[in-house]
Amino acid sequence: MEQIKIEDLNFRYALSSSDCLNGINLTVDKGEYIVICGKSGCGKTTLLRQLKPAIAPKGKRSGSILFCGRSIDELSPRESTEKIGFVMQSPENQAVTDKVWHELAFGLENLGLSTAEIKLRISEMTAYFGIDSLMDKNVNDLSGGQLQVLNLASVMAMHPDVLILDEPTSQLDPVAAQSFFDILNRINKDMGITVMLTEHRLENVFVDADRIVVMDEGKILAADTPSDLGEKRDVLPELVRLSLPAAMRIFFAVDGHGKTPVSVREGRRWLETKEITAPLPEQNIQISDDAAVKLKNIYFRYNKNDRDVISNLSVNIPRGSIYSLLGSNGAGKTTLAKLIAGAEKPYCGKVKLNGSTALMPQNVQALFTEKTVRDELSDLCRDEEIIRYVSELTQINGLLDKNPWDISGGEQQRLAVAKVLLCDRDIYIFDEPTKGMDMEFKTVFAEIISELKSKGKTVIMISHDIEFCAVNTELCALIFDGDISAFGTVRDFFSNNHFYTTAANRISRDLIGRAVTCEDVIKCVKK
Amino acid sequence: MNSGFKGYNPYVNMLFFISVIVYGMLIRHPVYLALSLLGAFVYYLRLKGKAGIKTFLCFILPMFLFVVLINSFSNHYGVTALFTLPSGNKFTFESLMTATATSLIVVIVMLWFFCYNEVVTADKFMHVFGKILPVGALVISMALRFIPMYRKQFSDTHNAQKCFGEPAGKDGYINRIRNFVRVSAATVSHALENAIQTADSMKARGYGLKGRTSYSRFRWTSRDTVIICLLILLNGAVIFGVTRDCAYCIYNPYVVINPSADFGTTFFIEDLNMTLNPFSPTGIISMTAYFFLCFMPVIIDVKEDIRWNRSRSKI
Repeated sequence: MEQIKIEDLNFRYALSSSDCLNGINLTVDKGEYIVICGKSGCGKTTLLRQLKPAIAPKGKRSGSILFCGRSIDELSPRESTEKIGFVMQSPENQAVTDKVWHELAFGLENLGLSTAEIKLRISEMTAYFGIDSLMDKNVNDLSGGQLQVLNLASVMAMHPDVLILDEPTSQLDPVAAQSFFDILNRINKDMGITVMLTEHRLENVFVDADRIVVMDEGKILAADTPSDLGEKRDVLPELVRLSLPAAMRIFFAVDGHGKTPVSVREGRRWLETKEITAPLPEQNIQISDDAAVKLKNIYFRYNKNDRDVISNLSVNIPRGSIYSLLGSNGAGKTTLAKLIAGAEKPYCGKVKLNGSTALMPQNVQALFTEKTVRDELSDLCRDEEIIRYVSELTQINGLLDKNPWDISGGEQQRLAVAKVLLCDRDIYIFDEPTKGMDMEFKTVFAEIISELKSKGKTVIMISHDIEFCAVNTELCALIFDGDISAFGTVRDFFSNNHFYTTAANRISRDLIGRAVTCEDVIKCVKK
Repeated sequence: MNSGFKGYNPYVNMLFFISVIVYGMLIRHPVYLALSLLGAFVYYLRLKGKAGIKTFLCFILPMFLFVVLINSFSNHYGVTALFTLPSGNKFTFESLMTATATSLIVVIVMLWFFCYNEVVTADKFMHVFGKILPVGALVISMALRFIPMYRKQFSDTHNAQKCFGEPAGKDGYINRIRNFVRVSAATVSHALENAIQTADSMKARGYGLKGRTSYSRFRWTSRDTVIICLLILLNGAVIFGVTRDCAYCIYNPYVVINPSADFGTTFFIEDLNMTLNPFSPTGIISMTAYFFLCFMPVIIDVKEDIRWNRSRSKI
């Protein structure tokens, strides 16, 4: 049954001279799971916001949006609040009240429900989402992942028919993102609620989605099932091709025939039928004997009565290497970054640095103190030439006169990278740099770090992003419980792990020895 | 967690604390003071356990003695000199009594406020306040969330700047002030930007629709009705006694604790120039009521403990 029908939709922002949405036609059936993808600024968010009249942007709209056969403008505010749930990008900013139970009740209070009804719905939601233990907590004490689940639960408590999510996981680490998607998939499959979602990390949602809508410059390029999307691969923008799941990328690269594999399981089955022609070429990683950062038996805790966050950790980071520190939340990664950058001091042990450091924090907004992007940059460097070079490199040259708070999350990330580059230090530390980056900029960022390496700088990355680290770093270490539990060159590291490893490695395990990235697999498989 | 008196409706908790704190501040009569002190002390220990004893010994007791000593040594009114101080002034029984009573009042009010903090949590306060002013309650709830959030953003920004831009050696006093202003301004922009998103989220979730209700996790049960009736009754009895001069006492120029009257027995202690006649029939009623008022939380808690143990032993 048709639930949402968008016909010839055009939209132009109030102060803009060009259309942001251009002739959009899309029909969404009841219970469908739809993922909308495309570059930052392609109109995804604008499209989603058109479906929620309360927060639709101001501007000129033509064409029609029908919700269950009625124009969306005819819905009363109460109906549109109830029927259409909307979850936004930032976990922190959408929460309104101070307590978890109050947050769940907030929307229901607005709808004017009775205390008994609210109590029933809250107890249902907490049981379904498994958040009963959080009920009495302060919203500020939750992790980003928990908070986003809470936001989803408090929207679900209003019993919507359609759930719209605007990049809900871009601020979360991959593990939290995956569990968020698991919940979302359960809501869709268990309850038959229609889900419309925008997302950068397609790997996670591809298996769950019924249809993928690819947008570019305000137009819809394709709207197909995940496996049919393969047939249209030539019209897909580069960005979307880069963010496809590993199985599909390998399949396309070797011109596979038949049904396109989507999941790791399907990828393995397909790869088993293929002939492995070439052995995996050896990686050539040269490691300098000289250490840029040397930590010896360090211990650290934040308060006297807390437990140690870092305990008896020793690490040697060679000069000129690209080194990634992986590990789960709360393992002490960010603390380690602060210790290396000198923001915190260990209470025991030695930190020896061979050069100056710059740290890009996880919360990049913390770096911005000026009124324009240009001021942010010229604050660190007087040389116009260098500023122009760096801003072109990080693709922010078009934004120089904007306020750093007016640009999108992905653009803020780029500005932060630009600022770090202008610092000109010997050791660069990036804390979760790829969080919120789209695939296109990830490629640019990869080039930036390899250029830093070629200049003899040391790059340390604290990350959850296994796929990125597998392709772009040389040495990896896994932090667990305040200590380093595994360490090695990229291939040794990932091929020794069974769970904590890349999709390409999981697809090719036992079939191709030690292949870690999609490129590794592609090289070994005959066209 | 929310057992005993803590588990009662916030209105019951509030009425109780308002009563005992108001009486605690106004009544200077030694019997009433003793009852209130004991009630507050026992309940405080029940709520805090061993930590309560520590606070009492390390903080409340020293403070009590300090206030008594300072007051009794520096005031010299009254007719009954106990001994002469080196300065030639008299140390009087009356000033000692006044100092003790004043100090007790401070201790009693403080103990009741400590108990209040344990019992009336922010949630309970919001329940009572939200009924009076629903919008105000939402604003407070939002403020309670935003203030820590902005403080964290401030320290994040401060730390980020620290391991970043400023080259070494530029750490002067002026520079630190300039940096502080910059970080503050950035925090304000951050707050304003994010408030726009919060406003969108509120609109998307229907804030502004007509007929908003206020959800509360606390319900009014029949036991709350019983206790609130009891509270009103006890308050009535206490006030009845107090308005009939049962709590009458003066400490200057000589100590009179209820003047001699037709009722009760009057004692006169000649060495201390003290008149005592505290136990008149109305006085006994009022004091008994005051006892039950001050010990109400303890009695409720102990009763629940007994009931629990009994039901356990049946199993």
